[in-house]
Amino acid sequence: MAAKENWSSNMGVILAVAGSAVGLGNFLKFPGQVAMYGGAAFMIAYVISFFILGMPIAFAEWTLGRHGGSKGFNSPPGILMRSCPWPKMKYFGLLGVMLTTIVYCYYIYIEAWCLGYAVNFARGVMDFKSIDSAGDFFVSFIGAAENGSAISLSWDTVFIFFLVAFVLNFWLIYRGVSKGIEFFCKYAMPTLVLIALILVVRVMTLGAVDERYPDRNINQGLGFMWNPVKVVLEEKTPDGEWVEVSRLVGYEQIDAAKERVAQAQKARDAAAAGASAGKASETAQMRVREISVFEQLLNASIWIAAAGQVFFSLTVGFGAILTYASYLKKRDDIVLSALSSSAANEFCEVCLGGLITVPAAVAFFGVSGVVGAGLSLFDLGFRVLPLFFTHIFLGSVFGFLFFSLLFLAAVTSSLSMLQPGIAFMEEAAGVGRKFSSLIMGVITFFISGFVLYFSKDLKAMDTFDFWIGQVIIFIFGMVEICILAWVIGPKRGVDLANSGSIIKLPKFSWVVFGYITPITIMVVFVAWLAKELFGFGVGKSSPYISDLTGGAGGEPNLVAWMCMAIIAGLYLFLALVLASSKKYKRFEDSQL
Amino acid sequence: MTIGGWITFILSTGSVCALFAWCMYKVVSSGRAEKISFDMDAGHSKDGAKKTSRRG
Repeated sequence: MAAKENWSSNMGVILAVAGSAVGLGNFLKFPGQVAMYGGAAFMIAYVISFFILGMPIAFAEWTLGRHGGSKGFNSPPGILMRSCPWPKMKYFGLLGVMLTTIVYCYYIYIEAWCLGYAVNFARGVMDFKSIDSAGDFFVSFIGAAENGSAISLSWDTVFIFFLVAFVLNFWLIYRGVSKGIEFFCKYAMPTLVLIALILVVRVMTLGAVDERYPDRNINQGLGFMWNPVKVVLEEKTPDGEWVEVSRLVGYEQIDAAKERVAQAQKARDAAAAGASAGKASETAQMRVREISVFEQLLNASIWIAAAGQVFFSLTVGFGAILTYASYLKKRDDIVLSALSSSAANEFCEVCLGGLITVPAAVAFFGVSGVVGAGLSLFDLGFRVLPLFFTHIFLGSVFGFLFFSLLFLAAVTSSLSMLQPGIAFMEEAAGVGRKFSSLIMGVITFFISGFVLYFSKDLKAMDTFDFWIGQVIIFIFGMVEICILAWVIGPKRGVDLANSGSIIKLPKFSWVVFGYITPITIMVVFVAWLAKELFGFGVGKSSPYISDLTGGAGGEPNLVAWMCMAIIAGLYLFLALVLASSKKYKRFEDSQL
Repeated sequence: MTIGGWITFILSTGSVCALFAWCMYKVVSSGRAEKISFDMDAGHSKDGAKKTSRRG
């Protein structure tokens, strides 16, 4: 019988799970979200979501994983089957294998972007004059202009880097849990933190990047992110609605805006006094409005955004923690390990990610420049920051360090996405690690090749990310917490988690596990679906639906449909492997 | 950055740092941080002697 794999140390598993959670979202998405929704308001929603949503689901995954592992199963189908009285639950658990495999297939593409940017910064060839030139390079590098254009053997396209990242991942995963994943994370995570600290020091000591704009500085960047009261300049439209013209950060900007409003009012008054109604209407009515923290918290979007950020940042509902925890033994700690890995993720997100990207970008572009360029993950990471690095002293070095940091974060995450599939093949098909790595290698190479080829407008990646990386993950996470809450039972769940743990969950945790978290995640999921899928509150239906139906008079998108076919095909293949598995059949027979 | 901004910033980063430091302290002081795994199924561990003595 093959040796059962295990972690070699507590710190190893903590670093591996933290590595799985720390990814691009920590350094690029979180700062953008804090800046967009306002510092204190977002952080309040974020902290509440962390404790009532993120941590309980993480505890549930760790508990179910260790429980399933102690019964001889390491993949999501087996773990869920052993946690429920219904053997057919294994087919639902299969979603955990499918989703991690598909997410890996587009995540490796993004991982290759990071590697490519790091190498090109090291080569000293990254020199951008404007945000447009940085954007043009990005589009050309990833092949977003035309399908197939990313596949070219050149430093200026992503293909070579994709191959390198792909081989590195499979070499590490082939070495196993302890010698591959744990070994890599033990070195990669401290290196990642060290690089991030160097970058934090560099960003915090930035003077005026552009002497023509002395007001663009780190203080303004920090204010843009963390100021609790959001101050905006608004203009009244002919319909009588107030619309935001710009965000105001710092006393100087606010005073200048108030002066502008006063002048506009004077002009209106003068025009009115001159009995010239036409002139009066030409000068728009303006105002400076302060939006308090409480008022910001009344906006449902901030809660959905914060819950989504916590959920996706901790990599819960994913099947990865479930699999990692299954390699623990019955007496191993899980409560402290879960808390430690989540705390490590939060440290990287709030203390490191929060101090690098947005403050640096604002110091260079100013608030309006950054808002204009975009606060999304890709805009910040691959358009704004590369331009910033080309304009600071030793920019190539810092650019190389920043994208190396993103690459390390991405590799530690992508490894965790491969492990559920590898574990599933090992236990369902009864093959060794070598053969299971080969099977997963072939599957993921073809699907990621598909993503790489159909790179125009990132349609394939975007479709997979929405349906699998968001919808299915939400559903999977919801079912996990419901199993712990309503199948195993919240009190027994807390006892299971506490068993062998260095610190214990408080007694009242069962209320959170049993009621608060399952109900909250359902509410958030419904609200998220209503907004993202059905356009509730946004005023337009989801482009992901239009891609499939053709929308109003349009044609359905072929790439989106091919993505759906791949999802269905992969699930069918995995289901066939599962249905023919002797190990699973033996367990089912024993239950009869 | 306003005074409120500084307070938000210090509270957010300070509490996360404190939580992370406390967790690391507990993990290291528990003595399990570098514990060598004891593999029941493999029939041996990295430290075979220890396993034999535990089984015995």
